Amino acid sequence: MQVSYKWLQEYIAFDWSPDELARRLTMIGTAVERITPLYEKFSGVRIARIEKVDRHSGQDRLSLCTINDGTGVRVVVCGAPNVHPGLYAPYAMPGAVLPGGMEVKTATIAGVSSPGFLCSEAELGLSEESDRIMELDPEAAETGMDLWEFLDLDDWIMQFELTPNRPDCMSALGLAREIGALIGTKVRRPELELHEGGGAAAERVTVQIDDPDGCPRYAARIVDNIEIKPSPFWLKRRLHAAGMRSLNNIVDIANYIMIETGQPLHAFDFATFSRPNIVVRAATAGEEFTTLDNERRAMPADAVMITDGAAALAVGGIMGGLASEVSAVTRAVLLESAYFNPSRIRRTRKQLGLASEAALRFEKGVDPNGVGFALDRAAALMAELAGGQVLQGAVDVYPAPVAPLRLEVRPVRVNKIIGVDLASPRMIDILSALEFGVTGGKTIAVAVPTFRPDITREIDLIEEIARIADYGAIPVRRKAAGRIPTAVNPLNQFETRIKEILVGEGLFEVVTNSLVDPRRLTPGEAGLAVKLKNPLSEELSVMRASLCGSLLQVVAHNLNRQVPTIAIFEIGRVFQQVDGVIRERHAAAVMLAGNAFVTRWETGVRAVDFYDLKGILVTMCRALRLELELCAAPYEMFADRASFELRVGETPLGSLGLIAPELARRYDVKIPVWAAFLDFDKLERAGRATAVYRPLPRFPKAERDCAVIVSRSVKGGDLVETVKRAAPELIEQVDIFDVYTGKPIAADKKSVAISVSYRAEDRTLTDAQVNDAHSKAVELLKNCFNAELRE
Amino acid sequence: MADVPDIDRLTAQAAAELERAEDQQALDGFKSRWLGRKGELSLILRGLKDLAPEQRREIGVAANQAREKLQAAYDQRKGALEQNKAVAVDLDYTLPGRTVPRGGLHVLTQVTDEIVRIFYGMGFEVADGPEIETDYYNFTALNFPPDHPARDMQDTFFVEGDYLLRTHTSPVQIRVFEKRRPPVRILAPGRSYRNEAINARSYCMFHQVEGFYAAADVSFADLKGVLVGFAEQFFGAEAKLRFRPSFFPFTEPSTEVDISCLLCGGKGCRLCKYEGWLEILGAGMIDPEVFRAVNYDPERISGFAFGMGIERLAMMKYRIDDIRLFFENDLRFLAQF
Ligand SMILES: [Zn+2]
Repeated sequence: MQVSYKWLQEYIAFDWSPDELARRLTMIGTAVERITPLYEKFSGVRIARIEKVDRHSGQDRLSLCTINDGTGVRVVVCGAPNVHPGLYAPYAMPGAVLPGGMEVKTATIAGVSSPGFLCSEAELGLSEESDRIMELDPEAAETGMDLWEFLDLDDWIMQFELTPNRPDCMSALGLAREIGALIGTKVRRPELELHEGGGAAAERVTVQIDDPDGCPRYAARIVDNIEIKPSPFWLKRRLHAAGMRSLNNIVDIANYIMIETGQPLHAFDFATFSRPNIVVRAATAGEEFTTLDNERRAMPADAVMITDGAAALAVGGIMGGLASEVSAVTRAVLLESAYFNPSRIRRTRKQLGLASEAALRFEKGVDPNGVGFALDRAAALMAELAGGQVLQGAVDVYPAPVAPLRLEVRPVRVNKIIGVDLASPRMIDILSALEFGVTGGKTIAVAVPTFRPDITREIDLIEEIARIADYGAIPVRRKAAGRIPTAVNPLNQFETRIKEILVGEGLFEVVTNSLVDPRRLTPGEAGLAVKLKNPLSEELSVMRASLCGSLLQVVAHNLNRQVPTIAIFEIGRVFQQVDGVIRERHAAAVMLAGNAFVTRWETGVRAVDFYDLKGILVTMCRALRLELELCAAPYEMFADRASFELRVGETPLGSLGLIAPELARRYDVKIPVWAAFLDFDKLERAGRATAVYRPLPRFPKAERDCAVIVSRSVKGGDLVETVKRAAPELIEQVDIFDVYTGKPIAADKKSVAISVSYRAEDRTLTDAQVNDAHSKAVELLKNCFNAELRE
Repeated sequence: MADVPDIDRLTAQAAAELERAEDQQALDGFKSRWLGRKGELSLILRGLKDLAPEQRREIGVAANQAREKLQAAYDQRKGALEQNKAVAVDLDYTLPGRTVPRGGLHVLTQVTDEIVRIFYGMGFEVADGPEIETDYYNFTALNFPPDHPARDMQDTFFVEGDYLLRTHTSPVQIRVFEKRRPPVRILAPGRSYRNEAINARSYCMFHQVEGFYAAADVSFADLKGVLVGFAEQFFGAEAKLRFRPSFFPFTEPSTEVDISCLLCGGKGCRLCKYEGWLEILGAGMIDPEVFRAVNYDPERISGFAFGMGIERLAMMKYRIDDIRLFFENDLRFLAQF
């Protein structure tokens, strides 16, 4: 919504600058988004009177105009068709600067020297009219007057950013009313000077509403004998301020009155009616209609059709039809002013994908009782500007008139909700200035004007009072009323804890889009993915079922930017649909790619590997006092021989492995990526165990090492477990401290060095006892793994 | 019978000698005197046969233990001397130290955590709800009637099976109110989605923090108190707030809250488009219709709610000029926070 500063001044007197006005309106909720000059500045253009017009001897289309610009008489060359003696027109003299910065000079045109020229509106940046010289009102114009001053062009477009609950502000009068509330006075409504004649309109046309739900009120007037022509400059100026294009006087008037009053109007060429009966009805099944923009459209069931009893003329409240459009030859118009059901308009508008200025107002709710004023005002202007004859009376069908809503507002309640101490007379003043009908008392009785459909309850009136009384004046109360014990959200806290552990392990947290590309998913994920009905694009058309794709994308992004080490994690939701039931679960994922994230100058650079990832997860689990176990298990996102299940005791927690190369390639990742995926909800449940104190050991431990040569396929973990079995009550800890392959060990074998700590809870072990247990352990390794002791 | 050697005295003597050893030559001397094949302890061990049988075992064990102890002390002393020498000659303090790897929390997490901490101090606890929501929780219960133009304020993604992606975390209000009775003071951070084109200023996903408080006698003045308290802690004591009337279906009265420009302090600059203010959040008094939807009596219970975008706050706080950076996760970006 936009109007100009001076336009608003027509309805209400104020002396704030445009900036000050914008600030004040913004602070009562009628936000001004932008202020721009209405016209680009020009200078050195003054009013001249054409004294004489001579044809150019060589060029037919050129004329030589003798003009008087107040300082003297001169001859300028002009190519416009509308020059004639007695015409007052803008004259740009040499030295004048026009919009766009063009400086006017004396020029020679077709052999004749022309000191400057007469201007069209387009040359002055006032409209798009470029064929004709601008014609000035001979009653008001005086030769020599500065045109900028004469037209009073210092004005500003005020562009408003309105909230959808305020259709009343989609009009100049409504905005003026807001200013009135600031000042405490009421707006001046434009005077209505309507001269009717030429018989009763009701004798020329009937109106019948067959769809009172869609159209509760329909009023029409007939204006006869009109002449279609361009609008006068003042009207074009209004449309320009409103951001609309000028078409012709009739259409411009309809648009102008819509912006002034907020009531959309529609002018039909009455001669195109096949019958003199307006019938308003709901669209029929399969109905098609050609709108003004020459598109044949299928009408949704909610559409309200305006017909002449035979053919459809318009989609009510949304757009007129091509066939009944006002044209250059129109002589009589039927002017429509109606009230349409907002929901019906909104549904129709959305289904048709049409957003006209009229529809945007109707769907928010215009004033059903403002229909008549707008109709009369437009008809009066048509008589004035198009020479039309307004037939007597409006044909107005309004079966169930809407009465102002009556509400009560309790001053005590106002002060309680806002937290202020306003006196009730002040509340009454505010509501009166907003044109509410108000009767004071212990509770204030309020009649809500029908142009405020947003006000239906006491709380709405409280807001009106609060916003005009100024939010800034409401105190800042620091003491929150009543103490509430504040609980900590356990899942939230657990998430924070895990994140801190992983950050401590050198990982960066990432936050990725939950919307992903279905074409890159694994088959398993694709089967679970929740699809959007109205995605932005194919790439973002499903919800992620796991964090795998999101993180691979981050890996790819960073690889492309030469980031050498990618060590990342995310904790977020994943979405899975199974048998039509959508489940949201918390998931965590870790991904490693590139160089190991600790590079040291003594050891050099190496690539990340399985053990880096396993170490991170083991550390995380240890912090939760959990013992992490891995076992080989196939997962579709992992490479065949590097795919493991993660578990704690009997609880599976997730998976770990090397991302399958063909999956990585879908994300343009060509290096190994190690990843782990965890069910975060399960991890949280598993991690709830609290520590239980165990007495510290009182007796010394003894350590023994051994190195065994075993087949390369033997798992270190199995060796450790086997050693533990040798003397479960004496062995405290078993660690592998070296794994060696190569000479002199045979190619299919490896040497594994194991250190074992022995300790008893209740005594110091003797050498003999330790040695005995240790040889049992070595013996067991020999038996189970065919191990040889390495000396 | 030979004399019984006094091992304790010998050990103490050896230890003292080792203390005095300052170079390799002295260490070599120590080694041959005490630990070598002809050293004192070897001699004692070799002489065991001359002792009475009852003493043999006792002295033998003692001598062996003393030998091990001295060997360890010798190794330690030797290591220390070598390191001293290395420090004097080779130490290059300009080479990198051995660091423990350290990652980082995403900047959005850091900002969220800070917000949660500040509001926790004001008595707000954290709650959340599903991201895939129903129309009822996301709109209807929050007083967005069907076919109401207010629904256009939030471009919505719809999901198969009559669900949608929540457009704000305000549905958490309804979910909490349904389960609890006032007083409730909740903070609900989480992901939200809007069907908006992706560019430097907007993204189809963002993180919102919704806060709300419902109890007897909560007023707009309390809302101002909480938000001013938040702004002072989050942006600094000099931050000023401005409350402008606005419209949200689920609050009445509603307000848009601006903060004095962080760059120019309100004088006007490019960041604030020369207005001196930056919009940071929307808020208001919870609409009676919302209370009715959860069977609270709006005559007895009043409350406020506010919602702010975490990306927006992070962008303001760290002067980040492109929202896409948050979700691209360039590690060089993440490492800056
Ligand atoms: Zn600024």
